[in-house]
Amino acid sequence: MRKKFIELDNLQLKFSKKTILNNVSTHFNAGELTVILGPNGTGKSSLLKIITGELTSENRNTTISYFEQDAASWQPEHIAKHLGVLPQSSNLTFNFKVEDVVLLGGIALSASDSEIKAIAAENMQLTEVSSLVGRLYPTLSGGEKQRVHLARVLTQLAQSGDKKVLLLDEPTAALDLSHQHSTLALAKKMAKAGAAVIIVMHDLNLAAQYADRLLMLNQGAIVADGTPWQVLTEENIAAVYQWQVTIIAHPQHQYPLVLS
Amino acid sequence: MKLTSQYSSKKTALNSLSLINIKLLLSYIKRIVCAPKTTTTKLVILLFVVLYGAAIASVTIGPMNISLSQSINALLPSVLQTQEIPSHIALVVQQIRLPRTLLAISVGAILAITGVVMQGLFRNPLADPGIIGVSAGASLGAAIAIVLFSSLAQSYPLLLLFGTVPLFSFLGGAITTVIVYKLGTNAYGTSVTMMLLAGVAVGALSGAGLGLMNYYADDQALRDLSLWTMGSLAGANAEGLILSFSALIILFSLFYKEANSLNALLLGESEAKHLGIRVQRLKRRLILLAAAGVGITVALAGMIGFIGLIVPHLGRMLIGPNHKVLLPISMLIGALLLLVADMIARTLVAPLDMPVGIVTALLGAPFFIWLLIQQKGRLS
Repeated sequence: MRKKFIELDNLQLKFSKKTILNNVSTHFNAGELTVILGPNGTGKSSLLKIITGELTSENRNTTISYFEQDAASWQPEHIAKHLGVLPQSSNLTFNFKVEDVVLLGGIALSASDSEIKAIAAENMQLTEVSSLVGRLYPTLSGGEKQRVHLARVLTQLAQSGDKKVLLLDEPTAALDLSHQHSTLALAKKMAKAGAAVIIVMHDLNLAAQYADRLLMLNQGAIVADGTPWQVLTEENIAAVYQWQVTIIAHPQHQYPLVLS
Repeated sequence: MKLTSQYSSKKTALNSLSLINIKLLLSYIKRIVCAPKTTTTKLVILLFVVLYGAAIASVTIGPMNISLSQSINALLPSVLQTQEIPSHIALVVQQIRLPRTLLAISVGAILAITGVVMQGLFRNPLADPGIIGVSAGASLGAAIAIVLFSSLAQSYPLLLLFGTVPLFSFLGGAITTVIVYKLGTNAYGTSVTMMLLAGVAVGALSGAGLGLMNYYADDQALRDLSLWTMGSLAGANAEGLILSFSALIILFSLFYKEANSLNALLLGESEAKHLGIRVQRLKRRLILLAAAGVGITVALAGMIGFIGLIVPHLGRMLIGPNHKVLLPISMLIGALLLLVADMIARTLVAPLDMPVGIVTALLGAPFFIWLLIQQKGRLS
C-alpha cells in the first residue's frame, strides 16, 4: 500500500457563479507519476492551486492533507521544503543570471551558501542548463527558461528527504522534442525514487508514455481515473474533447497511442 | 618666545603624527582595495571613499570661501587641529554645512533603499515611492501642519519644526498607503495594476488638498509650503539628523532582513509563496516601512523626487538585481547622488540656495523618459 502524499476531499470552487470544481475528491501517492488531463477551462490549474493553498475550497467539509497530516497544520516554510511547484510560465523580467535564478530555490533550504551552490550546480546538470551559466535570464528562450525553473524547483526540494511532491504545470509546452522527453524522464525518475509527481498537460501521447496514472477532468469533475489504457479510450476522449480518435498500441512499447 | 617654540613644536609633532596617521590610513586603504575581493566588496569600498570625498567637498564648497584644510580642521576635535580656525568659519562648517551634508547623506540613502523596496514589491522598475501616492500624502500632511499651525508656530517655532510637521507628514504618508493598499487588495492578493491606479487617484486627491492649503495659507506659510513642495535640505539640524539617521539604520536593517524574500518576490507572488514566503505579511510590512521612510524624508526635506527611481537602476546596472547586494550599494549611491545634487543646488545660483528637488528633477526626469523609451522597446 503506497503512502498518500496528497489527499483532497470534497473540493468546491466557483468563480462568479461558474463552477470550476464540483465535489472533487482524490489523492496522490508516493512513487507515482500522475498526469491530469482535460480540455481548457476544466479546472486543472485550479486543482493544482488548491493543492498548493493558493486557492481555497469553498466547501466547509473540504479536507486537505499533506503526507497524511492536515494541511492547515503545515507552516509555509515547512511546505516549501516538501512541495515544489513549476509554474506554466514566469514573469521574471529582472536581469538575474541563470545560476542566480536557480539559487533562489535555496531560500527554502536550511543550508550554507556553499552547500546551496553545490546543490544548484547538480540540479542544473540534471535539467541540462549548466551551459547557460553566466547568461542573463531574460535573454533565454522559453524552453531554456522552463528548464532553469525546473532546476530551481529541484534545488528547493533538496532537503525533502522521503517526503517529496512535485507539481508541474504544463512543463513541456515550450520544449522541443528531446527536451520534452528528457524533462518527463527526469520526472519519472523522481517518481521511481519515491516522490509523488503531479503533472498537468495536454499532450495525450506523452501522458500515455510517462504516466503511471491518468486523471481526466471535465467541467470541474473527475470523469476517468486509472492507468493510461483505462482512461485513454475512444469513448472517454469523444465524450470529454468532443473529438473522434483511434487508439492503437504503440508498436514497440506497450502504451496506448492516440491517433486524432 | 619659549612658549611659542613649545607651542610650535607641539604643532609639528601633531602634524607629523597626523601625517603618519594619514600614511597608515592610506596604506590600509590600499591593502583593502588591492586584496582579492568580490566586485561588490570593491564597489562598496570605492563608493565609501567617493562618498567620504564628496562629504569633505560638501563642507568646503559654499558661498563663504573656506579652504580644504580649514574645513577639515574645523571638523577635528581641537587637540588634533593643525591650524587655528576663526570662529565664524568653524561655525559655518560645524553648524551649517556639516548638518546639511549629513542630512543629504541620510535622506538620499533612505530615498534610495525605499525605492529599491518599492520596485521589488511592484516587480516594476518604474515604481517609485512617489508612484503609490505616499509622497503626495506625506506632503499634504506636512502642508496641513504648516498652514493650520502657522499661528501657533510664531509663539512655539520648535513645535512646528520637530513635532507637528514630521508627525503629520508621516500620518499623511501612512494614511494614503493604507487607502491605496485597501483599494488595490482583494481576497486573492494585491493587484499591482489596481494599486498603481489607486496611487494615481490618491495622489491627485492629495494634490487637490495641497492646492487648497496653498489657497488658505498666509504669506509666511505659503513661502514655507513652496519650499516644501520643491524639496530642500536647508533646514538641517541636530534633531532632524537624529531622526533621519535612526530611521536609516532601522529601515536598512529591516529591509536587509527581507532581502531574500524580496528576491523571491521578483519571481512572482505565487512563486514566492511556493518558496515558503508569507507574501501578504511581507507586503504589508514593506509597504508600512516604506511609507514611514518617505514620511520622514518629506518631513525633513520636503518632496525630493527621482532619487528613489534612478538609484536602484544604477545599482542594478552595476551589480544586478540581487537585493542582498543591491540594498547596500543603492544606499551608498543614493547618499552620494543627493549630496552631489545639493552641492549643485547650492553653487549654481550662489549665494542663493536653489531647492534641491529642482536639481533632482532636472537630472531625474530625462532619466525617467529614457527608461520609458527602453521599456517601450522591450514591450514592442
